[in-house]
Amino acid sequence: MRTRLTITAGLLAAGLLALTGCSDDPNAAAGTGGAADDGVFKVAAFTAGYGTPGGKLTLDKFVEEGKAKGWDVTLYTSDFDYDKINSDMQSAITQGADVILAGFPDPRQIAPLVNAAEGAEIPIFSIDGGVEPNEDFVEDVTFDQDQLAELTVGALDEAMGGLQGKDVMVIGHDPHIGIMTRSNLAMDMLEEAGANIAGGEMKQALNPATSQEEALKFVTDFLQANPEGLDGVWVGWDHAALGAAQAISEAGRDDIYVTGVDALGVAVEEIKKDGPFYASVHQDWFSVVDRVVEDIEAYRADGTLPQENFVEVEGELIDRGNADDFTPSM
Amino acid sequence: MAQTTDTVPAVEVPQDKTQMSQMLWQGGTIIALVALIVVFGILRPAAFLSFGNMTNILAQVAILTIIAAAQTVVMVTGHFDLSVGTTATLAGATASALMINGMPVSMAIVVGVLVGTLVGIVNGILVAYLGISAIVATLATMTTVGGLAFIVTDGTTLYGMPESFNWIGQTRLAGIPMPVFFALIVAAVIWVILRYTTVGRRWYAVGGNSEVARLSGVNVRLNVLLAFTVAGFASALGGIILVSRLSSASSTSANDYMMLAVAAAFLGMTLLKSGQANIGGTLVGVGIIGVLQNGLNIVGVNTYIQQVLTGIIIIAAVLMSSLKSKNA
Repeated sequence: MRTRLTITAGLLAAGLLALTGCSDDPNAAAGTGGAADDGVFKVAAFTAGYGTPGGKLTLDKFVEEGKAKGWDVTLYTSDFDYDKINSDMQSAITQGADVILAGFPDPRQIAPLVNAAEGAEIPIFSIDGGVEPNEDFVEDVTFDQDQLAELTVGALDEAMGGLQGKDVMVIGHDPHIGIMTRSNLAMDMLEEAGANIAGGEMKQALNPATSQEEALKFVTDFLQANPEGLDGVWVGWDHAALGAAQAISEAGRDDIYVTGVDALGVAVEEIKKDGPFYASVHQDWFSVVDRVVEDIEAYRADGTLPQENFVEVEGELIDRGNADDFTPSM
Repeated sequence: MAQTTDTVPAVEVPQDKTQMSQMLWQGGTIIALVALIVVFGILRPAAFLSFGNMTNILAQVAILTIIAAAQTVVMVTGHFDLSVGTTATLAGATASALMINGMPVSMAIVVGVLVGTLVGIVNGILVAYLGISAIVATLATMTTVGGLAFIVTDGTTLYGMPESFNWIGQTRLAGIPMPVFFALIVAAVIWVILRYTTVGRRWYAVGGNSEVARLSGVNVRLNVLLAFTVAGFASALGGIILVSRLSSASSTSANDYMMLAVAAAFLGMTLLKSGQANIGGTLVGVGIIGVLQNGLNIVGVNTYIQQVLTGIIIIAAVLMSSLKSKNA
């Protein structure tokens, strides 16, 4: 009994110490325009995709830049659990947040927090919050999914020497709205150019974090059943594209090409090897963060809201031609 | 005076029928595995039944075999370990992070295995010595260890381990991928421990009835602690092999293996009359999951439907093993 009490007390003490160590610096700057009565400009940022390289990199950068501006930034995260995110953000609004930053949100799943923010008249700025203008956000800066699909389908076209009659597997992940959009756009482009979708439909990865292994199995099993039935694999993000490329290498094939999106460091290394991984697209999330931070700062200063509520920016194709000169950020 | 006794004529027992239904009941899981192979073999004979695809299936289930074997050890003692997946992730991520930071491959692997073993020890202490329910305790460690994996990977994907590390997960011996051999070794060692050693017998005794085991002189707490420790150790091995197989470590790379490992162990429990976990049965369970996933991919079935079918199999396995426990 005494041992159990000692261990329990130890665990509680460790938890309290951890909480103390993780607490934010309370020395935050006051605002004039968007700041609340307490004089501290509170920004509640959230993302359900903190477990993805892009999500973490972008939100960490936002927190860093926000704190450099003197804001009191709190980041709420989950592993694609929007119930938790909605609860956390409703609490943050109750506690006096001045601005909400939505990082890679799924607009279909954030109605409770949007309603709470509207009720409290708190503006929501968004990064990669969808593929079309959304009145829920005062600003949404995102990448042009149409351009991302065009770049990657174009790269496959180049690698395979045309698309007409070629068999291309498409791997997507519908729960992620950006990936879903560009995957469907790419599939339409491939079909319009005369390519056949391998397996007759898009392959769906169940979990982006384990998608490398999922894609490895998809392509390995497909090649097992259809050794001559695959010319290319279009994948909506690099993590899964790496698995597809690995399956092709392990099958000893050098005539099947893969494209991804994200330009992860590990993907760029694969592109440099002149193997199956042919190209990816770099999305400069840092420039997106810079823009959103400046717009939030303008709101803090005098309450000015952005002129446009939907801003699309373009990605950069990274292939064998420029991979050596590219420095990945993820 | 002589007493006479009437004897009641014996009721004729339909022994053949009973034995047949017993065999079907007992071997239902094996029959299911054979049925799956036959069905996919008929649907796509050239692709499914080829040597290449059989090797492919073995490679695809190798890591699941190791993690399911870890789960089996804990289930033999009558407990669950919900943290086997995150433990595997953390061990793999730790080894990767250390290698990337310059630690020699062998040393990094040892540290990764130690981390997994330590998680097992913590689980064992929580369950055996603090009396916390295994489901609650390992659910908590699953969450904590999952968070630690995010910290170790910094939420991103680790890559750039030395080429020599890839030997574990990407080379082949006589055409068979190395992870298959590691899986066989782990399964064989656990089988020997469970079947031929005193500690294995004690684990079964604890799982059968911990109070009787205690009264018989078995140190129940120590044996439960040992079982969780072995599970942590084996899970760590699985996680490190997975990282080598993929040449990268993400913050959740092996997490999904937990449910499949539980399913495999439950399927395996239906093989024994007693309804206890056993390594041979677990291997059959792993085989069913592997053949199902591979076969459905080859036939071209949507991944969402595959998920539904896997869930149905888990339900069927749990139902069968619970019915068996009642009948035992």
